[in-house]
Amino acid sequence: MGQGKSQFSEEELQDYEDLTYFTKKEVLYAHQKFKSLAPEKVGHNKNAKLPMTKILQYPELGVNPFGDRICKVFSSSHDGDCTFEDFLDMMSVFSDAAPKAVKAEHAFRIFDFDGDDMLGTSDLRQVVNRLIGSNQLSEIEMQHLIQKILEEADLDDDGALSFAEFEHIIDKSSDFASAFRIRL
Amino acid sequence: MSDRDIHELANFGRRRSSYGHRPIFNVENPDYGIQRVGPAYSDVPNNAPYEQAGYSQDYLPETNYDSLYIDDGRLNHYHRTTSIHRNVFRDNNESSDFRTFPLSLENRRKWMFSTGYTMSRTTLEERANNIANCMEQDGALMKNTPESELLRREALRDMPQSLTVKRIIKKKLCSSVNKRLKPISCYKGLQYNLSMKASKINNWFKSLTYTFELWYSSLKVIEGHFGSGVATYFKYFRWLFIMNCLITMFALTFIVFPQLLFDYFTSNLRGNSTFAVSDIFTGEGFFTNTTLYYGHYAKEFVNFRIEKYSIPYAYFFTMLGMYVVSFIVLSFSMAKSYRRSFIETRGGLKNNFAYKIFCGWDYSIATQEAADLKSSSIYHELKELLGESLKTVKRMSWLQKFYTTVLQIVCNFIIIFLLGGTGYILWLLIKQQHSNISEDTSSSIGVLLAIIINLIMLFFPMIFSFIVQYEDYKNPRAALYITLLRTFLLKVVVVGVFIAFWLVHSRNENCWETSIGQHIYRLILFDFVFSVIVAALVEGLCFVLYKKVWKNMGAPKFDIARHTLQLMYNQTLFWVGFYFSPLLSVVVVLKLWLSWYIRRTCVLYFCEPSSKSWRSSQTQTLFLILSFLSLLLVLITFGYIMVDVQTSNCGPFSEYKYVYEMVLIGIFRLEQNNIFWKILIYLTKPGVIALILVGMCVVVYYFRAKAVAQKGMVNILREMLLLEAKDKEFLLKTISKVTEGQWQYQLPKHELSNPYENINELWSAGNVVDIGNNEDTSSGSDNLLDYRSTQQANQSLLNKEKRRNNVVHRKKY
Repeated sequence: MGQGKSQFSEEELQDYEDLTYFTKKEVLYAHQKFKSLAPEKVGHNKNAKLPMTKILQYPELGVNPFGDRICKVFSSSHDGDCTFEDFLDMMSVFSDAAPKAVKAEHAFRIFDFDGDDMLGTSDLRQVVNRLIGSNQLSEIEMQHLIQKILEEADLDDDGALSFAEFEHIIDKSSDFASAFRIRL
Repeated sequence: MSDRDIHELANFGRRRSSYGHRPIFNVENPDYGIQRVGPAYSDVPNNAPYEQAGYSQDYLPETNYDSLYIDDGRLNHYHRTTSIHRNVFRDNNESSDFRTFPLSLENRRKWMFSTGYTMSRTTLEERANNIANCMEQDGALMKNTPESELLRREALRDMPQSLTVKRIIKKKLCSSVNKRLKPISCYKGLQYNLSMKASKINNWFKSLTYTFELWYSSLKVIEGHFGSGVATYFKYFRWLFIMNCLITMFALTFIVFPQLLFDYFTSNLRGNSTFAVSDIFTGEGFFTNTTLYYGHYAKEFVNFRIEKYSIPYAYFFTMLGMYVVSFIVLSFSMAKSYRRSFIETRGGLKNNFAYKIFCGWDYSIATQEAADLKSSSIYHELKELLGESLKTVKRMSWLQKFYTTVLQIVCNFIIIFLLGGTGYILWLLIKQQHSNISEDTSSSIGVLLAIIINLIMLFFPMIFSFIVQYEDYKNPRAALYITLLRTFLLKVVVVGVFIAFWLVHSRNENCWETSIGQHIYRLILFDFVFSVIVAALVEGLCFVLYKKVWKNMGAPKFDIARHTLQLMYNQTLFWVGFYFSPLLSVVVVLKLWLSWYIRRTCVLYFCEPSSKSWRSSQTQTLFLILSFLSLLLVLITFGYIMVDVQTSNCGPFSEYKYVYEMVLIGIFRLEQNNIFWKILIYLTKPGVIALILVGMCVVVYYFRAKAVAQKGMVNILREMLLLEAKDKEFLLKTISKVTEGQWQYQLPKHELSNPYENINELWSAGNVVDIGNNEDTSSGSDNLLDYRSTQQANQSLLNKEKRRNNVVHRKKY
């Protein structure tokens, strides 16, 4: 980690430590990981903006069906391109130390494809389609499935899941925090 | 309620209703109530697709919606209430706790929404400025105190904004705090410094644990290949390893090392028998009189130059400390895990589908194969769930139920018989070995015994999982739990028979403690041979067969439950044996260290991830509970040994008849006629004990009554919540109707003519506290539109609503 140290000032590291769930060492380790995605670019500018395709070379994100969504949610320019700070933010939310509520908040935004702050039927449909990958559910099954999800989770019967409803599901799930986690 | 509140409520309604375009309270839709029971969502407008798919028309409303809706109605409603009221409760409960208050999600979302995070048009600086301005309004955040600083930091950290924005905000807040800077008192300054130091130390500690995180990369690789299910096994493994390492450290420092010094000083260096290779397997011969076993430890003091070091006391207190600490650690982690996976998530309505969708993906997966496997497993599970929900619920006939019950009882009897038989045969075998006291055969029979026990441990779980298939448990998880429980019982029986035999026959043995130590040593050693080395070879062989010979066989799967139980068995043996053999901890640590690498290699090269998903946290809790139970049993046995089993004429406690006497006589220096003894003897008289028992019963009864009363109270509160939520929901809907959505609907003439009549109806209907009568109130609420002048309407509506609330509440009390 000696190499990374020269690229950050003590003040910056302190900032990162205060604003993420990482320690300074982990921040430096994260920077190593970030650098390994595009060594030359990051070598010149420690906070270089990497295009989404580069970010998706990170193994966990690459195979994740929501990889591009994750990049977009965490990207400060909302187009999927991430600076190191965005990347650090992402890893911090996915770390063990991040509380469930924060994870839920981000999961909600990842699943909210159209950005209307509600998980509507089209969002759910996309989520399901991405989850099952190359397999296909028939149209009837899909409709039935979505309707079941809404029946279970849509507490105010408006045909879409608001954040409160989504958080309620997450709150009751004991496995969410351990599933929504990427080891740095 | 002030005008501002109404305005806010109205806005809230607008935000919600703008997403729900579906006309719920549509006057033109007289079938509203029916629609609610029928397909409630506009996305499934009719049953046509179901008919096309060949489902008969008439079962649909019954099985599909109707039953579900009514069965879950209450449950659903309860959750609706909690979801609405959570926010309120949260603030009420937590506002006293300064740390969590601004962390509450509402506040964060408020900041976010006030700046419109969804709009990417604003630049980062603008957004940061907006948020910073919002935060500056909050008095609690802007004080120049350590609490406030901590608060600011946490609020910022938990805010779902990008790091760049956060840094800008932080800078702004810092400068504005510094602007308001007032000179702080000396005491405050000290406090500030101290808390900053504390958080620095905390951070330093965190980074230290990060640096020394054991087997970090192995865990990451395993997680990437197999997901978090298999990783939980390895985490449990690591946890045990670290715990055993610490125990070993203490044992070496406080027991073994002084004894070695003692041996050196007194030149009491073994010499009674020579080393043979077979001794490694039997644990006898050369090893019998070494620091490996209890019997070797001295009952004297070690004379260092300055201070005397008593080996018996060191032995006793180190053991006591180690057991108590492991007990506390285990019970705390069990309680934590139990709370997290059972209590906090309790009372959930069945969110099966939602869980599968939202918590289904394992984000730690990092390889394409694992990802493909995961998506196909999610696909199959969804299919299965869908199939179940589409199937009509089969009612089991009386005969079938009877058959299943009888079958289960018979199977349980078979298992009990098997366990009893195993225990009896073991007893006979040990007796056989015990009677053949002549040196040569005894040790070979001992080895044989260890092998037999390990074979039992290997094959019986397979028999159990075979039997459970025929028992027809509806829930696969129930089947898993029952198999686990049976395997656990098997372990208890085996270890129990072992200990019991030696305790019964302890009198005529020369040094029974050492004997038990030797047996446990052999068990642990052969457990390593069978369940680690042989199992690894078998897995390798299966893999080769699968690759080269027969593709259909499938690569071996990693059975998390079986392996975890094996670990637990090993740990239980260690807890039993540690007292009789302090150096056993070193053996166990070595064993775990080797098996970690063997296991890891096997998993990564030979195994395939299982296609079934593993609900890790609940099963993990079960494992913790089982390990806790086994440690508890071990501790009870030790209690018995200390109080009621005479010590043999070897080892550190041989001067005393019972171990506990050492504490009383040796440490407290109590003589026979001491007042303490008199009190103790008096206390153990039957009359006093009976009195104490009666007293305890009364206390238990009192607490039980209290618990029942509290349960009743909970129910009452829950019902009140229901009512309140109902009110609130109604209010919100009505307001959103009045303020916005309803303009588009044309009202029938006759209803327009007499609005007041309808309103009266509305309130009388509203007083009936019922969940399902929305349709009564809805027709009335639509007519409120006639007021048109929204503000006025809102006001009167709210007043009436308030009055209605009061009526309902008064009724309740």
